[in-house]
Amino acid sequence: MGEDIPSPCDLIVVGTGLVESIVASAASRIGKQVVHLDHRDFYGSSWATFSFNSLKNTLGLIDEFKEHTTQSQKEASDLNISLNSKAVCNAIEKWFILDECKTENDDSHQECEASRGKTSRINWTKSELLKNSRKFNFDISPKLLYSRGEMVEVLINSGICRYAEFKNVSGIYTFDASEGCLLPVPCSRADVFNSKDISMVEKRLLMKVLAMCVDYENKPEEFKEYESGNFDNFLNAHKIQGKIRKYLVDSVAMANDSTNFQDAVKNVQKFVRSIGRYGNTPFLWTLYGSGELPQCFCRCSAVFGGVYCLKRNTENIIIDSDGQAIGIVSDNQKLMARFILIEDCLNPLANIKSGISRAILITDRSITNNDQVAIITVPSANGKDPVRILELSASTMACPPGLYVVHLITRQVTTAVEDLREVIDAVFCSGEKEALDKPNIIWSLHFNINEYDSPEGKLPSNVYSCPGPDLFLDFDDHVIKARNIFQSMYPGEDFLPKVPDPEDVVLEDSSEDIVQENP
Amino acid sequence: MHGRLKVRTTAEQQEIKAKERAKKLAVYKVAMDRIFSKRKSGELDDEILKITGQVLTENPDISTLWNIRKETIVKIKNTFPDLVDNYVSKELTLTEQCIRVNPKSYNSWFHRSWVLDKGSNIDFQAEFLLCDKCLELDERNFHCWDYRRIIVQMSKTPLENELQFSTNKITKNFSNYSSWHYRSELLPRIYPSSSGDTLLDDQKLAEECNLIQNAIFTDPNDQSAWFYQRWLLFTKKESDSKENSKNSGFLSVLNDELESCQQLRDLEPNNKWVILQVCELLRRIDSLGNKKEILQLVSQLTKVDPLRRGYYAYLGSKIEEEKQKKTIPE
Repeated sequence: MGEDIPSPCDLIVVGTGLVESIVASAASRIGKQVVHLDHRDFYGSSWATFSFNSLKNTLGLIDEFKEHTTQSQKEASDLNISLNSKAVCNAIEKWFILDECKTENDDSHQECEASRGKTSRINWTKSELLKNSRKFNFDISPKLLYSRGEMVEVLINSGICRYAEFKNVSGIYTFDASEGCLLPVPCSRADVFNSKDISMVEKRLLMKVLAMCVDYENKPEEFKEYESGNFDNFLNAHKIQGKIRKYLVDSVAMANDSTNFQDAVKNVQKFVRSIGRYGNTPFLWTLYGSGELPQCFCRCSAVFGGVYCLKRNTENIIIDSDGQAIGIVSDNQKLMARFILIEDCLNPLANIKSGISRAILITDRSITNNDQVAIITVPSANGKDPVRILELSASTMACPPGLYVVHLITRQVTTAVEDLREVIDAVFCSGEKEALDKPNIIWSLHFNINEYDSPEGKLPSNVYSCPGPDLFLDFDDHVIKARNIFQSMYPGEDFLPKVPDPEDVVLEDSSEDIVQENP
Repeated sequence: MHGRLKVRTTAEQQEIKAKERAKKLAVYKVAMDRIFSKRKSGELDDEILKITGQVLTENPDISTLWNIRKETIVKIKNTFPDLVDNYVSKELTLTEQCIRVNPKSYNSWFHRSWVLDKGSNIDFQAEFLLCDKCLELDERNFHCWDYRRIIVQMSKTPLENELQFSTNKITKNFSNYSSWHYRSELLPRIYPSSSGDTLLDDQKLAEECNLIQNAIFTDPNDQSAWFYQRWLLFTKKESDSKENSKNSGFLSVLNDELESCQQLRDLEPNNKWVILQVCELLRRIDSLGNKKEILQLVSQLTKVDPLRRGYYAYLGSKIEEEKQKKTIPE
């Protein structure tokens, strides 16, 4: 198999995360020979989506992952690839239901029924869930697309959108801790018009501030005094208080007490401009999980000649005497290339700068009652970052009907369990304490994702390091990063131009011509 | 080189398109010739329906062909009255297809409403579903609003249902003249007023005022709700044209509306719609007593909306006139 890998080539990409995959497809699209490798047996690296069983394998819940100890011939100047570093770590799994319910004629049947009645009112058993393993799609890094964000534009312009399907997020909420309830955030003009939660004056103030933020660039003089300060100052100056402030800060601007004005306004703009393109809310969710997207880009790259190889190790990057990279050693084979792209987590020079605390839950009921995809923001308290909750129903292909998959995301402070305990207790019912109005947790998985910091200027100038997933709900920063890397490699080239319509792709000297020759 | 992928150039694409169009044109010409020769010899039969149908699905805006179909249907109705329902249902299918091609095709909508009259058991449920679908796609398609009024009349649908429909449409997007207008037609018939000041009974009037307030506070630049408010507050029953007959109940409604408009004006001091509405309300409440304030607002309007200064000047002169009229008899 090794002989099939072209060497030398234009670009070697190590790791199949999102940024790597976008750059790989963009390079293939302009005719560059791309070789794309991953030592894992799946696409997407820390962006992947897994079924029940494959998730457990990957996170080391079942220890199948061998340490990579292969030694290879290398010069002192070469860069070792950190194959053993794991961006996703500290996984803790917990079941809240019985393994199995014994069959009808079993003696202990009654006992089993009884204990089940006590612990929960859930009709599922562990073995049943695992039997449906492939009906689950768990995202390591669930992310949304702003309908007018960078990702949607790239997908449309390039035509790559045809490889995936999307659903509009149906509800956006913020959690009111004092009342212990969800507040639906009015997104569109129609939502504001219909809202019974806010007064007429509040409606006007909310719409006015949204309109002002959208018009920010055109009227800089109106914003001069707020520009250098926090978003908070701006809201105070415009008398935005109470519920509309919660809507704006928690869900529209995705901000907290200390977010600066400029960042918040940028988010408000993206939010408002994205409303109405595909529905009432500004977000799209990728069916079958966010992990589809890196694969879509890989597919595009492969269609245009990219060579793909999973389960293929990369031991080191070969550096020549000028300090430039000339290729890599992969499974003891030298592969030469003009440019090399690696994901941050494999970059030996990158350090862990911070982390994300994550939980994935399976629940028996929706928090919001009628949504297919809902985002709930639990605002920050005591200076901590907010917790974002993403609830997916069966219609997103995240789970079998009747169940819900819930993702929780926040900044890592201690452990994932500790960081998310308060929110999970407030919103869900876990095990013993039964609450009629809260969904029951059936299964939970907590883990952390490391965020890396790759120091500028330490890598050879033709080696690029790509960031992994971050705390943001959307992909936009990563798309921009990928475009910047591409443009620095191939200045002046088109970034992911439209893939031609299949009807316009013809084989030269095709049968049409032959028929004409031999009537 | 054989078997290599190649992308068609724009010129090649255009050439393929031109060929397709030429083919289409040839077929069209043959079909039209056949239709006209059949009509000339009076052969208004299944075949002529079939050919005109094929042409119309491609281009639903050829009135002549629709008229030939009408002739044919009328002929069938006269000669075989038992069969006509079958033909009517075929016409409904065809017009639906044509509406899909062009949702704003005058001919298709007109033909559909014409043919409804010819059948004996029309499924109005299906007709309403079609309207719902079309108005879902384009809530301002006036052809469809018209058609809806026709089927409401024919099917004797309760007006309350239609009011609910209009409410649903406004809930989805209140910037919809068609829907506000539909309400203004329906409400006075369902909830007529007992006094002469307005068209609606007190409770409905209050509900509609609230609906409007929600709209104008959400987006004061949207004219549709302002227009509806004018209709709601400033239209009197035709039989009752006496001036100054306001009962105290209606006066308090006007004062409430004035108060909420003033509140909105505090937030949007330069919005012309709110200033204009305050003017109109002040005039209705007490034209003489509020004269000074009204004239002041009129001059402000001239500044915020100079394009319509002529209209505002006229408004101001009317206020002056009103004073004179009243002062002469005194």
